[in-house]
Amino acid sequence: MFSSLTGWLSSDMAIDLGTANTLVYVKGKGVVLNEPSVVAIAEDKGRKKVLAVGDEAKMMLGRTPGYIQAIRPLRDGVIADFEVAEEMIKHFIRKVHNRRSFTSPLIIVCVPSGSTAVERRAIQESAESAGARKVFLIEEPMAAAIGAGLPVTEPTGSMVVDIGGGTTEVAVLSLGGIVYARSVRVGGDKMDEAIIAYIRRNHNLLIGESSAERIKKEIGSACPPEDGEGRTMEIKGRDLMNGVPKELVVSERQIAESLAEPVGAIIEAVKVALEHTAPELAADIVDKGIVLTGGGALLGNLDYVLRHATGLPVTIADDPLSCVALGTGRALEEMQKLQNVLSTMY
Amino acid sequence: MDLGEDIDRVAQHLRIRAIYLRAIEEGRFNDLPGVPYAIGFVRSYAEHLGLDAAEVVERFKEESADGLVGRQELVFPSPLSEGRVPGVRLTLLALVLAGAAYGAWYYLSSGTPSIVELVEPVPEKSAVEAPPAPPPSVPEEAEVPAAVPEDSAPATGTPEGGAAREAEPKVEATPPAKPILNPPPTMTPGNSAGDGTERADGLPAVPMDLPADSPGDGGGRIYGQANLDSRVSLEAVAETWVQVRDSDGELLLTRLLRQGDVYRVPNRPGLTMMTGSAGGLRILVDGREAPRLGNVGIVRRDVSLDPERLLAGR
Repeated sequence: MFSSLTGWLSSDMAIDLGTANTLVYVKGKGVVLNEPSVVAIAEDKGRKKVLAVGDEAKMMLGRTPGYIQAIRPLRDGVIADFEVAEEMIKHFIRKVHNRRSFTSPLIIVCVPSGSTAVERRAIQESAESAGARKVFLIEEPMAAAIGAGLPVTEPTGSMVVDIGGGTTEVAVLSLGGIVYARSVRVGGDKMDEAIIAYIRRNHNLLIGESSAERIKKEIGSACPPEDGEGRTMEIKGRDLMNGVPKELVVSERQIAESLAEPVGAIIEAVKVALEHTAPELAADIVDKGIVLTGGGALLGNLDYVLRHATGLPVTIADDPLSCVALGTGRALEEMQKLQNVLSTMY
Repeated sequence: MDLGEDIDRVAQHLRIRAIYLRAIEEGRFNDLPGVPYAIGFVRSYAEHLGLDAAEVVERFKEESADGLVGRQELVFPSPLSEGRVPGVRLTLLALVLAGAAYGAWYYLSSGTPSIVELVEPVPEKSAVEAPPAPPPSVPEEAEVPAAVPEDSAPATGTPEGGAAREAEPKVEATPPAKPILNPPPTMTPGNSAGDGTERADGLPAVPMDLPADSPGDGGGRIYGQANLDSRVSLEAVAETWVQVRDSDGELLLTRLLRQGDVYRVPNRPGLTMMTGSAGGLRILVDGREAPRLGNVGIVRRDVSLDPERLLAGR
């Protein structure tokens, strides 16, 4: 009774609970929030309190004193720290509603297609504990395809590759359902780790996750340039040999080399998915190609590499970072029509 | 956008089918597979040609606003409805058919004369207007018998009475050897003609015994007086509704016998009777009283009027 009353006062939401970023779509308004999935926790007299969430917390990442912890509650697309994730969702709900209490919205959260029942239940319970009156789950590839505007309900095959922060989802969809889906725990985070490892190995320089992400965004490439070193960038970190801060220049070619492994894993996942695709659907995919969504789609030349690895046309969605959030939001807006793609763990 | 490159070669490089690239070149946007794919093809093509992909895509979106639908409509396949509630059309059709069937039944059933039409108009109507004069024998009797002795003689002599008699189909239906029935005793010269006309219009075709002109022993009227060879007589000791049918189911008599009225049953086999009050009838077989059929108010159906069975009380 009370829940339905507060529900009436609340705006229903769709949340793309990503490893790197969380996007919130509010019914009738669109995407209203896009913040990093980072929570800063301060320990005060033995009690943990949320200090900052989102952009503010990300600024603290790797720069915190002893009593503050900047935590990313999601790893590999699923919840790694249940309590912190709950606090983060609670914060986003309050931020969207501009008040602290009397909010109990209906929430649709997307989950990786390869997540286990336990992981899905953790996400659902986390959203419910954060104050949702009802929680539905939607699989990420379906949300990404809907958000990219693919004809997922038609009797034609569509292939979507959603490269997120923690996972890469490869799926073939037709007639409103997922025909085949493959989820690999390779994404933006793994790319960052690969860059860190490469620079440490080749330059004896230790850089942080934020720096690695910045390098990836600026000069990251899935394949080395045809000639020369390509674009260059100055990076700063700690020299592992003598322990002092150091600055050096890395090139696009070096970063491309460092990203070869995660990019190779993504290509492998796509190839495996194509191998498991029925001939009729494969024919449709040959005709129309693969659509890339997610932040990983913005990695330079990834479409080129995939095109040459698969021999298929590769398209980057119009707004790849928001595709999952937009698709989840559309499921919220047209809930009656799209109820087939929604699920719940209870 | 054509910078002199061979489309087939570009198609080979971009892995996009040449027909789609030609559709982009010729502005046939409807031939492209879908909005997201079309935008991707245009972007790839523009990048390959060294153009500003973002600007080209924006221009493409503006130009194709009419040709391409902006948002893909999602219609999920749903199983066929197995709803148990019929649709509106089916319901309406069923109602129309039911109405037509009822109308046809009503029309056909109204073609045969109903029981109401078979019942003869009550001749006592005129007697109500006559001054009530209690009969000498039965003082408490209704006004019908009271008017009988006074009006019977003059009524037979009036031409109107003759006309009324001629208008009686039943009279014509009776054998010529039998004595001609007199008109009803309650008829007055003034209304007898109208009464006769009314009968001529509404009289049923079934051969039905008409009331006799002479009162019975109890002061009532005698019906079926023409049945000279009658063995069974039904005498009403109280107001009783009686219906007699022959073996073919044809109605011989259907009327309310008042106290004292007598019906002489034709001497025919297979006659059956239905009465609304079994105790209101005294049955005489060859002058002997047969056992009563039941108490007052008991409805009896298909009572055989066979003399022997009546005497046996079956």
